[in-house]
Amino acid sequence: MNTLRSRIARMSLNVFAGLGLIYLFLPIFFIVLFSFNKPKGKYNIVWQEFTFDNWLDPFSQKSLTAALWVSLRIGALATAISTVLGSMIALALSRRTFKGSSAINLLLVLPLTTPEIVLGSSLATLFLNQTYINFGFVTVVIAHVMFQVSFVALTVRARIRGFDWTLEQAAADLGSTPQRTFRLVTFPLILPGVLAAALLAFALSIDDFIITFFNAGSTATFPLQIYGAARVQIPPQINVLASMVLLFSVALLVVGATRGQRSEAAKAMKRPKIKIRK
Amino acid sequence: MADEQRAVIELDHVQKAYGDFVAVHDANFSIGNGEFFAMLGPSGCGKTTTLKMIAGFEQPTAGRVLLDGVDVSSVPPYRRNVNTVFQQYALFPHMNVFDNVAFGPRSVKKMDEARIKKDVMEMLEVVRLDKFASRKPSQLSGGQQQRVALARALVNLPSALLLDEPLAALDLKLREAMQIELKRIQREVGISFVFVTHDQGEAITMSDRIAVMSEGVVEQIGTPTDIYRAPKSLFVAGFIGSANLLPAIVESSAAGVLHVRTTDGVGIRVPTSSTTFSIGQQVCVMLRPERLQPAQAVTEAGGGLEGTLTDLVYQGATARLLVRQGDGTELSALVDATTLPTWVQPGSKLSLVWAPDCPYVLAGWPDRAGATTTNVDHVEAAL
Repeated sequence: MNTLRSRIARMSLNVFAGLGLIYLFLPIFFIVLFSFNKPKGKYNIVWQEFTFDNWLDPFSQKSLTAALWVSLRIGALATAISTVLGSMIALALSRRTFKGSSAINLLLVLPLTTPEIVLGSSLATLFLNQTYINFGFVTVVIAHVMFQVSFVALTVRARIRGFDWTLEQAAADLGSTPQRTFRLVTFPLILPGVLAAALLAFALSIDDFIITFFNAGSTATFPLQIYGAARVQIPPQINVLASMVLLFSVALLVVGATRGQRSEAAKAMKRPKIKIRK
Repeated sequence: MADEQRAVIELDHVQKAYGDFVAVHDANFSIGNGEFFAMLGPSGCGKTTTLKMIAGFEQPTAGRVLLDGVDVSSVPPYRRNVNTVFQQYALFPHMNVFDNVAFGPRSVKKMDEARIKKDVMEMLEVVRLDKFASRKPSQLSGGQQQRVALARALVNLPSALLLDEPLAALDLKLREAMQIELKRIQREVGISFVFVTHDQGEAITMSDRIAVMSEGVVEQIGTPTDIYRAPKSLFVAGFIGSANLLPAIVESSAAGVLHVRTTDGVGIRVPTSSTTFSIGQQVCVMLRPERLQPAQAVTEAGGGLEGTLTDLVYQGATARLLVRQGDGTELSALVDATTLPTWVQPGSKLSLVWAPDCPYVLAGWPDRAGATTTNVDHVEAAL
């Protein structure tokens, strides 16, 4: 009885977990599946027949490829800037509490909770009220850095929580200048956390639509291009390029996960104090 | 121990305050070349803060810190020629043992790698870890990590080595082994060691001199024997070893001898060279447990303290007697277990007697009369 009941319980748990996973992955599956479709007409929305043609010619849609290239460049530049800024904020906040650190904490969460439409439109207003930069590549980078910084700072801070700051004291004690200490001790130990934050920030930049839409001017990023094109055509190359981005992300995740297991960073974290007294 | 007269570290009326809270009051002492110096006190007494001011991690709010005669009060840690062994070792987890130890030489000295390699390997031999040079710290035991931390701090040949409770994270067996090891290494390198600990046994067995601290104040500085035999305050008397502290009043004073009467009426003759005690003054008589002997309950000449034996604890070669007096004060005696008379049984009435030079007198009354609760027997064994 009991075993039967527990078997049923386990089975139903598995079924629900499976349904949950299907719910999550079905759309992604369809993106990849339809990259192998040979559509009739301009809309790749009804399954016709299997083909490798799209994958053999992924860059046939010139405007789409150009947009992907713009997105990658914006993503790379914005991620580089926000990773440096965000990591510095995280380091400052983790190292000590200072006047205003709780205010900074609050301000960091604000961009995450503010609706994107508000962020995007108010930023656009800001850009409209000045004459130095026009809408385009630069404004999109600025807009992306703005929300990425919060994600980077929060991710890095979470990853270096419990970092043993006496390591920096030890380095100073041994005669190392603050710059050298950062280069040889602090940075190598927080690097895994910084890389994780950079990956997240890059993914957010590639993906962003709403804020970009308000601040891009005539510059077309990948999501903007797809949105614009969808009214006249949905070529299968969208699915091919999207699948490529997906594959790339998964590859990064796999590398990150396998490297993370071997990482020494975990060992830099303070071990619990074991004090044995008689 | 070339010239112990030369002070390596001098604290010149050093004070450290955090807002209204004063962590260290007027610390004013110096530490000699090649000396093994302990700063001893309960947690929160200011010993670690004092150490941090020597290392440069904290700046004094008043006074000066001198290293080799030079005022370094405002010099950052990386320009001070002292090195620290941290409580949790603070080894760099991403570097192997060799690179950990070589970190100091590579930071300060413009030396070629061959020379650094020679120095590092020599120091690893001193701490007996030369075969572990390519291991990561996480692959070492606690005791080995401790020795890497030592080698790393010593390889720069600092003027003084600062040790912040370096043995606290080790288990008892390893701690005792490391105490001997530390003494050996200190003799071998001849560098002053400044050792912070809350463990009186550790301080007494290892140090040339001890500074006993309490609530930010240096209560007494002296050799372990001096501090044990002639504590300058009730705190020191109670903190170092165990003691029986009895409140008393001075009755008369003659050349070198003080007659006092305890609050429960026992007259005690105290030899003292001090002339600061006046008749009628409240004092405290200190009787060390290992100087007390049981006698049958007839008061003998020279006086004794009567009571009932409540507990008899065998501790191998020694036995601890707990004697409750009529007024409830508990006394403790540490005696040779092999020669203990058979009439010493729990419940029996007996009297505790002592040699004439045993009583020691201190100004002021203790908070609590009787035996102090710090029953650490290896302190008595060490002396």
